[in-house]
Amino acid sequence: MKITIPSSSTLMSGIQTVLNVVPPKTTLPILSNMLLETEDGHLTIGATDLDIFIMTKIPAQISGEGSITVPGRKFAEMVRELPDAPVDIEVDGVKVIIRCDRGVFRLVGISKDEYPALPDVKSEQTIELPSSSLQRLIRKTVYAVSKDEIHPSLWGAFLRIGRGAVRMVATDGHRLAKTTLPCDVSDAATEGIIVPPKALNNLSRLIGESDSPSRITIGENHVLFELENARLFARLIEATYPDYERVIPTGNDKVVKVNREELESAVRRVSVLSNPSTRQIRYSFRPGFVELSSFSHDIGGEAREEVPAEYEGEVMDTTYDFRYLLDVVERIESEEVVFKLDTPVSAGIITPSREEAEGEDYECLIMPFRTTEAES
Amino acid sequence: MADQIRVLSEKLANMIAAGEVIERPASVVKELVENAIDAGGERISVEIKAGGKQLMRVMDDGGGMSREDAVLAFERHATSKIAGEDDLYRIGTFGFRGEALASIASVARVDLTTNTKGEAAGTRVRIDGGSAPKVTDAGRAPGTTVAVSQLFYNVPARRKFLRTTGTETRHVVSVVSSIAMAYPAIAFTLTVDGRDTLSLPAVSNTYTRAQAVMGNTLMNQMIPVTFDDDLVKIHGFISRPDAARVSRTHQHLYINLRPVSSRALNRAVFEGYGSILPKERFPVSIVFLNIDLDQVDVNVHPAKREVRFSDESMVYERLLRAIRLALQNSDVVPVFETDTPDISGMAPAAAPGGERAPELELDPAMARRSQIDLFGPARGNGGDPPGEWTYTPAGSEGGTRDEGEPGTVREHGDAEMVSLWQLHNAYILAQVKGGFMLIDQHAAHERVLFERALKTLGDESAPSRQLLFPVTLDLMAPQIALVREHFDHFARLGFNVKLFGEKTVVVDAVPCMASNQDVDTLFHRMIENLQEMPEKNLKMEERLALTFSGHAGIRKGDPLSQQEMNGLVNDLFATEMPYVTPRGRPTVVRMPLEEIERRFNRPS
Repeated sequence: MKITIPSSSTLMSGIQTVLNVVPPKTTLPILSNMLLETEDGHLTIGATDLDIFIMTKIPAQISGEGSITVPGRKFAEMVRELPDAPVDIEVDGVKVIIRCDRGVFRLVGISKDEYPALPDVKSEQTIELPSSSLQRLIRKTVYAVSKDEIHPSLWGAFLRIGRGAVRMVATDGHRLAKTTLPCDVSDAATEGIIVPPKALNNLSRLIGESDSPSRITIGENHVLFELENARLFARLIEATYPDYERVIPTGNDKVVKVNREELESAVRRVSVLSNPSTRQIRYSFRPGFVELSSFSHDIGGEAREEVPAEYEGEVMDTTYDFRYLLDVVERIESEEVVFKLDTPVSAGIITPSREEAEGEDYECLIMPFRTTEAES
Repeated sequence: MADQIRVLSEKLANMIAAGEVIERPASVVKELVENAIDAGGERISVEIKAGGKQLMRVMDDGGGMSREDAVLAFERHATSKIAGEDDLYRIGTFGFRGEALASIASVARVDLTTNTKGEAAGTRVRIDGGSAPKVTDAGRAPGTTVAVSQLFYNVPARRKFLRTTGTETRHVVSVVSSIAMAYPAIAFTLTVDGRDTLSLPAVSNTYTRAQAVMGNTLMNQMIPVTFDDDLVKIHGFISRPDAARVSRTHQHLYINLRPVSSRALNRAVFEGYGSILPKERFPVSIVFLNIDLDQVDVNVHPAKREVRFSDESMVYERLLRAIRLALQNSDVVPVFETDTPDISGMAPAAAPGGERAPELELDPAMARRSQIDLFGPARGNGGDPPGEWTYTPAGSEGGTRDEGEPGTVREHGDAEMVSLWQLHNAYILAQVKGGFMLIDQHAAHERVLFERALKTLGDESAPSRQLLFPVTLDLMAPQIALVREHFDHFARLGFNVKLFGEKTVVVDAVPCMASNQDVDTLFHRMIENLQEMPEKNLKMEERLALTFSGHAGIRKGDPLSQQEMNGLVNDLFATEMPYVTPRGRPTVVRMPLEEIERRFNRPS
């Protein structure tokens, strides 16, 4: 293999696309390597941790086809320091020689044969979606994925495409986020897949600001996302996603509208004196305003703040984890946040006050605490 | 019909009394040693042969007796220790009934030699099985020697009941040790078949004596107990929970220096540990109670092994409190096993004999820091504050965080944090003044949750998180019965449970304090645990708190963030008993700097 990459910065950007996936510590040493391979007049750079596989292509002059894997982090460190000049890479067996400007670097690589093979994703159906839609789904939903290790089905976000809509749902059993966007796929909905958050976060990073279409292929155990310059394979979580539709209440008729920024900053202030282990803040919804309050046993302090609100119904007090509330409010773009409530101990629904993107439906659920009167 | 009731002969009466007082050789030794102590002996030597079945000899250097007294001593109800009825209610000596010698003499061959100061010739009195005493002159320094041989030679039925030489010897050793523990100022020796078995020189305090009797290793695992009020003064030593034994026989109890057994008071000691003793383990304890003589009646049991209090519940309650305080105030952190146990820093605090163990250096800054003051205001009744081992957030060395400074919000990440390391996702390594500590994360959280759960079950109920997906559990009938029984308790802990039909419960809210949010497993384990747990002596709340804390906490293998570790460690040292889990396992082990230095062969 013998290639020339026109500039070291091009090579670096390719490396950075995949570097994130190279595991810092691994029991399988080959995974700390990066795959370099010539392909259709390009250099393909790949990395995997066995759950995710990311491949990216950068332009290169190929004078000899071939492949090799090189120690990922060392390779990245080296390329980062190269002057902005063309880079020659020559591979002879497992010896890798890198030349740039006046510098010559030699590395010992490992043959591609020992590197994990790309997952085989076969499907008749490939779905095309605007990357920006995927980006919105991920940004608004993935935060709610469970971080504990109890229910495998909750370890990922649920993705379902079809009947003109794409939907992503995430929950950790105490809160839930659901985002739906219109899409061109009019076929019957797929069964839905559960994608680990790490894959989705990497996908979000790869998409960045791009608005070119993404192609999604769902295989048996993996899903493949093809972007403009990169491909991401992710292992799917094999489990049945819980019946989330069932837990979303439909009869929440107490509707409260609050200014988003006012609410967010008040929550941040009041949270300082909340119980650090439960992070609870009490919300007292009253006609015209909502009163936030917290109480800290540890230092014996308390906080109280009123935020103006549009609300006509009867007084209702409930208690939420402030982190849960902030997670939602931070992701809402409209000027106002709408609470739809029923009883102090049943799920509260939070939505934006208007459609934030064409045809978008965004809904979050938060379960309140069950507290005694003494607790605030 | 002829008269059938007659007065028993003196000899027969003595033999009957002997049946009560003299059970086995050890009872003889006990009576004789007690007499020797009452006689003011400073050196008491005991010699036995063949477990005492062949010979028991007790020698003292006390006041001795005149010839008349020596003979009279063998008469029943002859005693120098009380004179009038009033004295019976204020008994400060061991003996008082004047039964012992007469009883012994009726069932064995007794040879008594005694002399008092200033008298030229001593007296020797010999009695065989209650026969008339043979009195002769004998040379002897002041003091008394009583030799008892061929015990029960004239009561074959009793003789048959004697155990093997080994067993009887053990009883004698235990009687002598037990008495010796209470009289450190008296030197004791015990010779068994010509071999020195116990050799206890006179020392100035109980701790040193106990060391000689119980061994250094055990005494290093003991913590001091002290308590003092109008009714009773208590002092002594109890074992750290991790040094508990499998049998109850290591509880030594003394009332006014008299070894007694009292189920009630032993229970008070046991209860004092609450739930922190491992299953089926019993504490080692050496506890001395001093009670006003008129508050206690020793004239209950023929061998005076039992006593009666005018108000037992008051004594019980104080002893229980003393044990609790001792455990709370003491640093019960196990130390890494070392071959030089003296450096463990576990030195006894105020040894009751008056000699004070070297005081541990307490960082004054640390003492001010109320937030991490491990034991709060309860301190002061027990031993030294465990200064060296106080857990101090290292970042705040210098101690400016006082109570009146509410601005610091350590939980929100902007406060100074101690560097803690997690080892193998199971242990937390923390630097402390004087060395380092290893904290078992699971055990630590168990302790924290236990106390929280107890509080919760007591007065304040805990907040719970509602579940989006309620968990349905299928239980068996007895389990459902348990759930019904504890419905209210579960609710207080934070479980919202609904019963559906005969076999199904639905849980739709779980306690916020539980780290283990796997409701299914957690709830099942708790129920199973409650089923299995023997009624024991635990209160219902304690049992529930135990089952909850055992399963709801951070587990071994859970990775913890710096903040979580800090929270856990702070919470742990805010508990009442940070060093042991509610089930009695240690939560913390420590490595003293001296030990580290020793291991690196550094001159310290």
